[in-house]
Amino acid sequence: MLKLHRTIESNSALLIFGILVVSSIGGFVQIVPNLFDESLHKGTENVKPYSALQLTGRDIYIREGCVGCHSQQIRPLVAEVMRYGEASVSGEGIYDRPFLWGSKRTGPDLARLGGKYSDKWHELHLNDPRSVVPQSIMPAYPWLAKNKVSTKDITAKLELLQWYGHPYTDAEIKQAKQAINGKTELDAVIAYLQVLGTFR
Amino acid sequence: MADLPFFWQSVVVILTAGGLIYLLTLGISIHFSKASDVHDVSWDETLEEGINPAPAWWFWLGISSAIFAIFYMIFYPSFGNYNGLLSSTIVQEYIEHKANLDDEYYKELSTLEQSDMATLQANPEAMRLASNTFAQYCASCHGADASGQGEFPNLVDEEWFWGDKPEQITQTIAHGRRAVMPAWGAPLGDEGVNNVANYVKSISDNTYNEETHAAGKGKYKQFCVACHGVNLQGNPVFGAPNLGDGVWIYGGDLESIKQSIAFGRKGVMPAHKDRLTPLQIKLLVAWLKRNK
Repeated sequence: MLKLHRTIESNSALLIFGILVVSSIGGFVQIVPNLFDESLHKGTENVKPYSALQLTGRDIYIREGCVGCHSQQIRPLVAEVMRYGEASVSGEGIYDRPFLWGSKRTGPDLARLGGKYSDKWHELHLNDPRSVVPQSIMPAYPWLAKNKVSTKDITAKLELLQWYGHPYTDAEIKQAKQAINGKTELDAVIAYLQVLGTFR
Repeated sequence: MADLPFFWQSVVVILTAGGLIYLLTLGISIHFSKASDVHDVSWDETLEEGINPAPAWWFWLGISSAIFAIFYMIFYPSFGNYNGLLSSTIVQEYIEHKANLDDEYYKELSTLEQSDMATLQANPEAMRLASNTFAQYCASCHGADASGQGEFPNLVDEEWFWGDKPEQITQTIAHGRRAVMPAWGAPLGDEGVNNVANYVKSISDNTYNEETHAAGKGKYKQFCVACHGVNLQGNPVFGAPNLGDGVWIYGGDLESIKQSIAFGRKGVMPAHKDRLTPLQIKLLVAWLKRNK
């Protein structure tokens, strides 16, 4: 054994290689087996892939950087559950690519937002947050109501997700363009916000 | 906690246990081997390089961390699917903390569940809880002082669209409400909408318009009376507001009324039965009734 070490230590290329191998073992043991952990892949009972409109809204949510101020994960801590609702579980997020858990809470957590407010409230609030919550520091997003959603990529997006294994039917993908055609970005974002947290 | 298939569990176990055993053997064998008398390189004539045992404190530090690791693996989840003797996940800790809270705090509150409305209203702690709940769940729409804002109803005035009895308010909070004022623009036509709007407006502010009054009244009796009633008094069963009392949620000027008639209104109160406990709802109802 000492001989082996002598060989490694006197050959710098071999030493570098050895260091890389040894230090990657820790990462390997922590990360790779989890990719095969069934409990992390199994969806909850109510989990559904996002509809074409919800998915479009989700992409606008990403585009506008909502995740920079709003997390979407409720940790199992008493105070947090009392404020936001049931703690998040991994099975809810199996159709989130990429996930939007976030780590910054300048605004409140949104993981259980769906159904908390009416569509009308979201409309007013996104147009001008101060009109319904006077002390809010959230920026206004008035252009969402004016812009029509782009139908250009929706088919390709759904096809890619289907390839990943999200259970979209071919008919759904075929009708996707039609389903979102003429909707505003505001409609799409609200459709997305209203489904948040309903996959429990 | 972990739920790994056999193969990956074995990989974790072999790498963890194997690594620990290998490093321990290596450390011990070097420590107790004789100082090597082979000196491959010499520097500055007398400075020689070889393999020598590490200082004792360093060696024992290594050994004690290995022992610590073994105990850690016995007590905590870190070894494949093995959960550890003291297995404690954040979820289990949550359940414990929640149970403590239920014991210490909510048990005290459970007496409130049997109390009647007047007792609750006289209990400052109960009213404080209700007002906190309102701030958290209701104020975004109905305003911090419950006086409503925009299209969201005022909850401190006399008018309750869906009824002011405690059980009606409970129903409203728990199951939500969906107002369905249909769009009458097509069946009434522009003129009809104008006539009805003028008629309805005249009842609350006495501004009679000779030209449109009779026609508006006629159309009202035909299209609106089923929900809003003969005397425009409204009907809490449908959430149809009283049109004669001067309270206008969507605006009482002629244009707003015409808008309401022509395009309809679809106010939505979301259901809160999954967000609030029955006790919280009960407290809210008591608080709202007291607030009036």
